[in-house]
Amino acid sequence: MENRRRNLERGQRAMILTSLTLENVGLYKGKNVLDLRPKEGKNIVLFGGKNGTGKTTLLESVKLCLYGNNIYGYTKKQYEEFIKKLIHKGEKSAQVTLEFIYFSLESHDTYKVVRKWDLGKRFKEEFLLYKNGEIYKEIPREQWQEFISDIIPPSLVNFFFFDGEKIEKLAEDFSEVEFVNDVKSLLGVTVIDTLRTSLDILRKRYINQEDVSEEISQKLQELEEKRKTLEKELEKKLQSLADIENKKQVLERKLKTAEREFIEKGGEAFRSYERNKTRKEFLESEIEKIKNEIRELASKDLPLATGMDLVEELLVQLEMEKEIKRINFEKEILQNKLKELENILTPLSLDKEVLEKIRNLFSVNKEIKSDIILDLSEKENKTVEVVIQNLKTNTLGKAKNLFLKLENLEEELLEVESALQNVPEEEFIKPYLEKLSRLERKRMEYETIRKCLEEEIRKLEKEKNKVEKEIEKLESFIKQKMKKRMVIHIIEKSQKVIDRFRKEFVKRKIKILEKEILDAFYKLKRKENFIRDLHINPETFEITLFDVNNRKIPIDRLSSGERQIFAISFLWGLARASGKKLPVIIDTPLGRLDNEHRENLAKNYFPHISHQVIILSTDVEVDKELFEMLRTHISHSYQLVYDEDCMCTKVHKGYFWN
Amino acid sequence: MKFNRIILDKKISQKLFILKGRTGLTPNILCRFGLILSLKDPTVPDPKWYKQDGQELMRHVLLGDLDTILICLFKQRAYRDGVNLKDEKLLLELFRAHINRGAELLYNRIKNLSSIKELIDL
Repeated sequence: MENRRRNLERGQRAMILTSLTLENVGLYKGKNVLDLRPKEGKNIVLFGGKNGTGKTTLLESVKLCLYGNNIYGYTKKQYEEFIKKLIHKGEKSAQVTLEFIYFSLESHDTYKVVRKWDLGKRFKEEFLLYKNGEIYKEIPREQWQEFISDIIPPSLVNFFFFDGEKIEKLAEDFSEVEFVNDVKSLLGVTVIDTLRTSLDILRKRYINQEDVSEEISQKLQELEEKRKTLEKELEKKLQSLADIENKKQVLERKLKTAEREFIEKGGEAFRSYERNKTRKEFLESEIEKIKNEIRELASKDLPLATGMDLVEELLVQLEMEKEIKRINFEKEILQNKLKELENILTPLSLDKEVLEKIRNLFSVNKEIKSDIILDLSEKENKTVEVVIQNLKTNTLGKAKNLFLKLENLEEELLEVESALQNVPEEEFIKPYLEKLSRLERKRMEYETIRKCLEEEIRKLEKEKNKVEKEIEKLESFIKQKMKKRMVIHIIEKSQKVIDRFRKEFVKRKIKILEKEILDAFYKLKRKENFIRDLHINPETFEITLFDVNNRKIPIDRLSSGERQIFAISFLWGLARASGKKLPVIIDTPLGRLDNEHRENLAKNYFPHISHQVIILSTDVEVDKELFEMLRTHISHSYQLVYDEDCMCTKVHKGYFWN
Repeated sequence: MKFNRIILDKKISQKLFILKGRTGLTPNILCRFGLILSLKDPTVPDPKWYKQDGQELMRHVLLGDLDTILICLFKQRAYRDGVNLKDEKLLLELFRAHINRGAELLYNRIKNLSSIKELIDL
């Protein structure tokens, strides 16, 4: 115990709760600030309150503030209901604020944790973390909860913050599953177990990928054979290619010689024959071009060019018809005017002679003795004029030109054709010509073969590349397989090591735990020699007690008071074994204890269990007598009083009698 | 003059086919040359010479852009020949006769495309 104090002084990781503020939580209406910081080297802060004044609310609030729903694991809906019930009747929002100092190896910092609830339109929880008065910025907001859980692991909460009920429950059954799990995580076994399970999963995953290697190695063999075949074939083809290239070179030399001979022996005539042939082709294509141009003209207005007399006549006729129409039009106008004039003149009863003169004045003498036979509209007239205009100015000239060209070309073609027919078939050139063309044919043949070979080689190389890539892929796959096999091996080895480590680790931890529990028990137990030894099964965590004679003592043979004392010892031991220096909060711890046990607790337990002990008690538990015994360790105390008027709990300084 | 198509005599159609081979010109174009040739011939063709059992030519194919002017030339000739221009039926018969005869005349004069030149009044 002296030891522990010294540890704390050395600056080991430790924690002190400095204040708890409840706002509209449970029975606490409005803002209630509770100073939790132990003063003057005293370690106990005592809260007195009769049943139903909100003691348990204090304990719960601390947990809730630190962990929120994480410690309850409710569904969202359930949690919402839980908080709604927790909020003081009639209030719309509530808040718990917990401040604490955390001593780490390097420094000590003040933290403030705030959890706010709002019952507005939608339920809202806000979680805030401050460090040394400022919002905590060193880690992102999402990781605040994790940070808190690092300082005070939720798995330890049951050993540090607990109530009488918990002790009673534990006293009844030490093998409670929930508790066994807490003990496991406290010992650090959970981490090891998780690691082992993860490794097992990993190992299974690797193992599942085994057992195809037989097939793969067979495939690899096949591919290797295929590669060999391809390489052989490729070699053959390359050889053939080289052969053909050689032959071709020889041939080309021969060809050159033959050509020289051919030229020397009078190939010039042959050459002019060739020239004429080319010229003939050229002329023919030129003629065709011209002919097409003529055909183009023929499909337009060229036909009219074959009847220019007729066209001229037509023009005259059209002009005449236009004139007739104009005169007729004039006549009509004058006749109309005359009629109007006569209408005016008749009432005047003029002289007949005068009237005749006037009539003559309006008559038109011009007369063309011709019929209107074509009677074209103005538009048609225009069309005809345009066509004829184009015929005269364009088409005739163009046609003349084209026909002239055609004539010339055709004449030349005739000449060239006759020249071609007259090529003298000189007998002595023939053999050279034949030789030349034979060699040429051979050369073409070689060229074809060469091209074929090249194509085949290209294909073979492509295929070979493909096979090689596949081989590479398989080989790397096999390599990986080997690696995997290594991994499996390493995993299995690691698992064995972990198993050994776990065994040894648990054994040691449990030895410490056994010692700490026994130690605690000795401190609290009046019959010093009743239990001599204690064993915890490393597998099941079952507890066995032994008496002086090393005989097993069944736990249920202990009295209920003894069992509670043992339960408290058990919790104390666990807390000590955890190595953490955390505050302890105990709610109504002394339920069924007789006076002697309570005195023991007051003397040996509360003063020494932690550097900060917050006791929530009724006036029956920590009564006058006990209060006096604890007095020297009590830093300060509060009394919780239920006020009927406001239907809420009021917090006063002092204890029931103090 | 109103008509949509002209049906040629079968023999004339064959001659046009041969002419096409000689010149590379299509029957409708050949007929345009032939029509002018026939209009220039002082004798009047008789529609009875030609049956309507050969190739059929649509008006727009036959005359194309030269429609108005060729019809004018034809009417002028018919007028000179003393034909009543109001008699549409007779006019059409005569037109068909000119087209047929023209093709025949052309057949006799054209050996190849170059010989078109000889028809032209340069």
